[in-house]
Amino acid sequence: MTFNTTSIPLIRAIKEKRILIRNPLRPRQPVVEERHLLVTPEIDAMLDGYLHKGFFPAVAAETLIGVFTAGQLLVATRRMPGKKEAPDLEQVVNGQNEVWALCVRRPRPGWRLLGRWYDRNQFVALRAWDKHHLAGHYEGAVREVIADWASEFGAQSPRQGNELRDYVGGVLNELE
Amino acid sequence: MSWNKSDPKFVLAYDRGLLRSAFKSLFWAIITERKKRIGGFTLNQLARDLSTSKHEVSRWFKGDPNWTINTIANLANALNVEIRITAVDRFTGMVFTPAGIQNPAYEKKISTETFMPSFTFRATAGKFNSEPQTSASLERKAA
Repeated sequence: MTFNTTSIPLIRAIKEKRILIRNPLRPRQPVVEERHLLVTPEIDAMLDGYLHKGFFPAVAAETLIGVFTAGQLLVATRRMPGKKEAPDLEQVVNGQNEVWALCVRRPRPGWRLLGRWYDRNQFVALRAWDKHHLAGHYEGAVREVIADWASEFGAQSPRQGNELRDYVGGVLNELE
Repeated sequence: MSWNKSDPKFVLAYDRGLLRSAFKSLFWAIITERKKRIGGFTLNQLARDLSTSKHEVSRWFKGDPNWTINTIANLANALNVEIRITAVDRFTGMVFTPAGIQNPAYEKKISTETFMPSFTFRATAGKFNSEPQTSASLERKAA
């Protein structure tokens, strides 16, 4: 993972283990464009099955993390997805707040890792919601993410962009 | 289904998912590049080349499809790309191809063995058998 001058709050959070780098199940092969997934200790514990036992660890969740970090194909959208669409990555609430969701569709009911992009290809997941509980609570969940971000990184702005590739590289299928 | 992450079945299911994704991702990368480079290249055109519908082709790239080798061959043919297959031993790093082992150190050893005896190791019933391998021993084996 490469850092630049704006990475200091992130480096501090990683050193203090408030934010963890979530690695894929298998060591990563050299890839064209790496993506990095950073998570809170709570989300890390959830994905490893220490929280929400019976749901995690889940092959589908680990596979999504493997695909994400390897720079492989992600279906992504910056708008509200239709009922029949199932993106892996979506920007929530019209992009006004730079909050995104990594969509773990299995185990059921499906889970959303809500977070923001620290830099291009560096996604920080701050809150995990199961889809049933999230429905109807998106705005509150977004406010939590924004508050968590301020608490972790202070005045550091999340990544902002005009198009999908400003946030994330690798192979992408952007829903039209 | 929830398992222990170190369970071999969990790792197998993960490996399967990643390989399925790798093929999907590989062909989507080609399609994306073709759309950019070749004016007028569309999924419709690809679907026509594959004698199927755009909807069907589009479906192949969503979710977690388990393609057959024929589907992979059909896509490679329609996109006019050659699939090159290699397998890397996770422990030794040795690279295997359909034509045999691809390993520079190994090839170098073969090319110098007429001058320097080397040893090949063969695992037999839990033991390693070693036999000096020179050009003479290779000729004896070939005979």
